[in-house]
Amino acid sequence: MDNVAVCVELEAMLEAATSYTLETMCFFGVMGPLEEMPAGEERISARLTFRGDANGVFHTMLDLSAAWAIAANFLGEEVADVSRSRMEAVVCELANMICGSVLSNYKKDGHFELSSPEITGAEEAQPDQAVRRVFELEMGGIALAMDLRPKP
Amino acid sequence: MSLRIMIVDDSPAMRSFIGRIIQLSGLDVVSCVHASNGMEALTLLRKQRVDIVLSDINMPIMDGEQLLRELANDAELTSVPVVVVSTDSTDSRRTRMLELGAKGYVRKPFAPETLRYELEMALGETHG
Ligand SMILES: [Mg+2]
Repeated sequence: MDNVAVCVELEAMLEAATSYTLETMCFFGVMGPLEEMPAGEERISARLTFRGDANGVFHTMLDLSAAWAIAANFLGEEVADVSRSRMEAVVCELANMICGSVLSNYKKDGHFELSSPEITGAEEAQPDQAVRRVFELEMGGIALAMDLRPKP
Repeated sequence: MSLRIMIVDDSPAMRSFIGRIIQLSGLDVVSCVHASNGMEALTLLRKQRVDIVLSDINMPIMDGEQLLRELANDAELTSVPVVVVSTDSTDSRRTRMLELGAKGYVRKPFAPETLRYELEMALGETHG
């Protein structure tokens, strides 16, 4: 498969994994694709690396208001009752699930090991070579970037 | 049937999510024990019986694969059904976990009804 085909396929997988994860696990709606993250909001980012049948980096960035609301929904609590560290744990879990879903779809019979997701600087640059998607959520936005290099 | 369940996952957020989904699914859960890795799960299981274990795979100290091996080798615990709940949904992983004795496999993310279905199937197999 050529590079362009892989990118198109990855873009579609990122969209499917993001919608399904947010809707089934966080009860949070994905409204549709955007070109760029909406300006002006404070953000939070998480990243993880993976290796196996493909090596790479997965990065996600969320508007902070969306991150709090998603964490509250996931935990079944009010936003006011969720601590910063628990909100961050949910963002990490979200990154883990979206990345895991994409990889399992990318190679159904593959083998992958994912690192534990980490919260990174709010505006950390997304990986250079990555396939990117941005989505508008029922509140705020989410950006995803996946730099996936098939095993040579 | 009143159920005693154990949830094994290194993420406290994921443990509470799974616990809440099971409660909301209408199953009659009388107790829900949490463990953050396979080793902790084994220690707890040797002290208190549960009807079913839901276990993650990727965990520090002892992962879900080793937990299944340890349970299979323990005469007292070998009959406790385990449903794996993991972000890894590759066929190779699923096959390996089922070969090691898992009674079901749920990939994260999951719909609540999928979790309930897998639990009921695993319990049905064990409790007849
Ligand atoms: Mg884990």
